Amino acid sequence: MKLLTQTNRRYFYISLIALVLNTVTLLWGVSKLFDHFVDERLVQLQAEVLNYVHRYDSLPVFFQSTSAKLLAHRSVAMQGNSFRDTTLFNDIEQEKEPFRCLRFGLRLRDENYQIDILQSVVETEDIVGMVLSLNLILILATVFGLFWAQKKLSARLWQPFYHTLASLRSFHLTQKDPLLLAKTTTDEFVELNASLERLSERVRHDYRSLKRFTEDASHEIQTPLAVIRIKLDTLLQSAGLNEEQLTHLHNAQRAAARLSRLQQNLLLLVKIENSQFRGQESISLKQLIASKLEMLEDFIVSKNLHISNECEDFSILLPPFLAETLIGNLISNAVKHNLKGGSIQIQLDKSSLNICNSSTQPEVPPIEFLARFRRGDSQSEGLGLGLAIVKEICDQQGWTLEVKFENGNWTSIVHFHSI
Amino acid sequence: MKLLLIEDEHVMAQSIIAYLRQDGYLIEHALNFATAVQKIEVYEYDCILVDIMLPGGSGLDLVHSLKKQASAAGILILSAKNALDDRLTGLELGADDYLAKPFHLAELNARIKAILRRRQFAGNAELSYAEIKINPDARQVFVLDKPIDLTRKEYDLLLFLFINKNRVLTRETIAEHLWGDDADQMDSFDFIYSHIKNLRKKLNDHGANDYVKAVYGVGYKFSVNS
Repeated sequence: MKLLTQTNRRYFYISLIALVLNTVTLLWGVSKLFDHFVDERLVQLQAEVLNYVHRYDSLPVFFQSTSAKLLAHRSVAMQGNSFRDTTLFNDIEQEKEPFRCLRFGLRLRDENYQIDILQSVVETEDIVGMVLSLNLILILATVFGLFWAQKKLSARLWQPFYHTLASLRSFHLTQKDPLLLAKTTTDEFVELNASLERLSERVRHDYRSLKRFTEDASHEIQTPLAVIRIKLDTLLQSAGLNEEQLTHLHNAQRAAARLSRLQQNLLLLVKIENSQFRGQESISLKQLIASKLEMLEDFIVSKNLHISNECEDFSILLPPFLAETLIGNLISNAVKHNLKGGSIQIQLDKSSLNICNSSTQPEVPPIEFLARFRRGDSQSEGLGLGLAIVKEICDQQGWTLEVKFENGNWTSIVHFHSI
Repeated sequence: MKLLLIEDEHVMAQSIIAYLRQDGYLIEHALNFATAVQKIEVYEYDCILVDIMLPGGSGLDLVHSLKKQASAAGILILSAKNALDDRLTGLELGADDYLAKPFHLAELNARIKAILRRRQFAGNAELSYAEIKINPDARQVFVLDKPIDLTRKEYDLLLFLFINKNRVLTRETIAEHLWGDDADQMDSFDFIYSHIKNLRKKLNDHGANDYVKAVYGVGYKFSVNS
C-alpha cells in the first residue's frame, strides 16, 4: 500500500473520530447555551408571575408577552425551583412539542400551588440542528479538500524519492559509472541520496576488489599449474613405474587438469563480465550446433542418444568465442547429463534456442544450477560452471536463460530478445 | 632437426626440452625476448616454439620479425588459453599453429611433427616403423605395404600414438587430442577403448605386431624396442 494511502487512511479515521467528538461537543455546548437562555427567560417569567400574584393576589391565566404557558395545580407541599424538559401535545399541529419547564411552589390565599412555566423550545432545536449540519458540511469539505491537496502536493514532494528509486532499480554492481542521483532540496532526500551514493560506492569498490582478486588469483595460479601438469606428464613417462605409482600419477594429473579447467573457466567468467570479448561477427548458430554435435558424436553413439535437430539457419552478431562457448556448454551438458538411450531435442528459431534432453531428476531446483559451482551431484566430474558461463553470456547480450525440469526432461532455453 | 624454445618459465622449459630430446631433436632455449632476438638473427631453426608473454617483449613481435626475414622455420605459438586475440593475430602474422597452455607434451610433440612435415617435405613425408608406414597427407596407413582401411578416429589415434612412441598417453590426453578441449569432462571414455580395440584388430589382421599396449588402466602407448 502506498505511503500516501496509508497516511490518508489514518487521517480519515482520525477525522472521523474528530468529527464525532466535534459534533457531540457542539451539540452539548449549543444545547447548554440555549437551555441557559431559556432558563433565564423562565426565571424572568417566574418573577413576573410572582409579581402578579403579589399585586393581584391571584394567578395570571396566561402571559401576554410570550408564547410561554402557565399551569397551576394545588399541591400539599411547598417546592423549590426545578428545571426539566418535557413535551406537550400541540392541538393545532397534531404532534408533541418539546418544552422547557420551570416548576416552583407558591402560596396563595393560604393554599399551596405548584406552578409550571412552560416555554416551547421547537425553534431552539431547529437552530441546533442547523448549526450541526453546517458544521458537518464545513468539516467534510475541509477534510476532502485537504486530502485532495495532499495528493497533489505529495506527488510533487515525493518526486525526488521516486527518481532515486528508479536510479536504484537500474543500478548494477558491474556498471562503470558510479550511482548518480538527482539533485533535490528536501533535507531528508538529500541525506538519503548522499547515503545511497556512499553505500553504492563502497559496495562497488568491494565488488571491484573481489573481482580483481579472482582475476589475479586465476592468473597467478596459471603458471605453477602448468608446471605441475608438465612435470606430472614427464614423470608419467619414466621407466619402471609400477601400477600403483602410475595410478597415483594419473589421479594427480586428473586433479591438476580439473584445477586448470577451473582456473580457465573462472578467467573466462571474469572476461565475459568485463566485456573483454569484442569483435562481433555474424555467426550461424545452426552450423555451430552441427559441428559441436559432430565433435561429440562418439559420446552420443556410446550413450545411444536419439537426436532431433530442427534449426533455422540465420546469422547472429556475437564474438565467435562466446558463441562457441554458449553452444558448446549447452550441448555438452545435454550429452553429459543424459541417460543411456535417452534423447536430445534441439530447436532453434529467431526468437529462441531450445535444448531439451532426458535426464534424471535433479537434486535441487533447476534455477539453482545457474549459480556458480552448482552441480547435479557432488561426485560429478563437472565443475558446475557451465551454466553459470552460459548465463553470463546471455546477461551480457541482454538475452534470458530459462531452465526447467519437467516430465523427466531437462530444458534450457535461450530467449534472444534483441534480434 | 633443430628447434628453438622461447619460454620464460624455466622449469617448464626443462620438461619440454627433455621430452623432445628423446625424439632426437636439437633444442635451444631462450628465456627472454632479447636472447630470442639474438638467436633468431644468428641461427637457422626448423621450428620455433614461442611463448607470447615474455620478459622484455611480446612473442608476436618475434613472429613478425621472423616473417620479415622470410625465415623458413615453422612457428608454433604457445600461449595462455582464452587469449583468443593472440591466437588470431599470431595466425594472421603467419604462425603455423597455436597451442594453448597448459598442454600435454604428447600434444605438443604431435603439433611440432605436423609443422615439420608440412615445412620440410612439402607434405610428402612418410612415417614408418618396421612393418607400419603412414602417409599423413593421404591419411593412409600401410602394413607390409598393403593399405588398411581405418576410420577417421582410428587413423588419428594411430598417428598420435605413433608420433609419441614409447610414451604413456593417458585417456584424457587422447580424448583431448581427438575430441577437443571439453572432451576430458565427459564421464566415460569407453569409446576410446573400443576405438583402440578396433585399431589393434585391424593392424593384427594385416599382420602387424601388437605395438599398442594398454598401460594399467591409465592409458595406452605405442611400444617399440628402442
